[in-house]
Amino acid sequence: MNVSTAIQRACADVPGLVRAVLVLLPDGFHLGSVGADRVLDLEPMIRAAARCLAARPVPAIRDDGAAPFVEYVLVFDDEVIVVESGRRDPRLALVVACDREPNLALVQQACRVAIAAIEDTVDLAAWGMAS
Amino acid sequence: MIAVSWPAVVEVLTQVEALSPDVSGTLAFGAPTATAGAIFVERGRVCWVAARGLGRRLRDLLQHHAAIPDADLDRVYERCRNERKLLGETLVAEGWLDARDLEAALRWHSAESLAVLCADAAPAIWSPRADGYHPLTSFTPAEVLDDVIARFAPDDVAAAAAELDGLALPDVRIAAFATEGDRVGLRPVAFHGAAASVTELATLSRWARALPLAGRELGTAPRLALATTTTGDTIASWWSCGLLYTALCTERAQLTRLASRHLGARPS
Repeated sequence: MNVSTAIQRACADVPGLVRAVLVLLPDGFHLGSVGADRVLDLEPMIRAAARCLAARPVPAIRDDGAAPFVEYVLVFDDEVIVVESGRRDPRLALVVACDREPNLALVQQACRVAIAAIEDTVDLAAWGMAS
Repeated sequence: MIAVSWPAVVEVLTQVEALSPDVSGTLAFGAPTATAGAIFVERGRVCWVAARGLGRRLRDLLQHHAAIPDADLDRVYERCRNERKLLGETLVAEGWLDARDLEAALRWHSAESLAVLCADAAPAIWSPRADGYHPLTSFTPAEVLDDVIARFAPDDVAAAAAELDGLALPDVRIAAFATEGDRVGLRPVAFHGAAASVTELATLSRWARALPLAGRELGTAPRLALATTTTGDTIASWWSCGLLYTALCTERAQLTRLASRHLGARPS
């Protein structure tokens, strides 16, 4: 199965899906995508994901220490962008754009399931990641 | 008006927090032969900050609070100089000044002195002092940062207070930041909830800097941004009146309240 097909299947249950792209960070290397005619149209999403997931000190939310951030949700007037970091390898990122109509919690949950499904189905060894 | 170097202020106060809690001494600015001033530290707390040329300013601040005629103040001042005593503490000991007013004057003066010292971004050099200073009062580095912000960014403090009061979320830790320059540096403006150290605020500001940068890549600032950790905790961030707020949410209910507030009203 090619990567774009795997993304399409994994994101099939994301409500209001507009486009999605799987990238390798920190360079933003495009591995596959759905919903966009040109890779160029995905560039802002890819660059935003790189900004969010760039290595930097993380704040501690609880007193017992800091945990890494693996999901960013950016809510705009008409769109929601979800950035999911690979749970097995932080270099992998799934960036999903949805319209604003569906419930935010449902979008979040569906994107978490999607990144897990992609890590299960896509052979990431070719890019030096554990599969 | 002093142009405050906020990164330098935060860095030097972080340096104070990094000292062992049982040491005392001075963090001096400038060349060893021509010290521009120093932070006097006792057991991890700031006693006061002094900058060359601002001695007169402290005298004025003390006089503002003290019920003491000019001539008497001059006499006490001269005596303190000759006997190498601290003016403020002498005024308190002799009944001219209330201890709380001394604290207010020292905090204000320390804020101004620190801003002056950090404006030159001179490296701070630590010199321990075994017997300490035994001050009447001392402050945490976070309190000193609060004072610098209150002195030099009062409009931001007022805007943050209005936003945070309106939220009515007393159990959530929320920090407010202002952008500093084109490189999207963030300077702390306010912290709501359980006290945070300067080091914690510095880490949070470095982390949060990515949010405006990500918004810039997408062409506009998000109404709300949620960042979730592997343990399920979330930082909710939003912009209001030019300030970036970050709320550290450990419970789903806190997050729901913030999300409803920011996403409830949709543009028509």
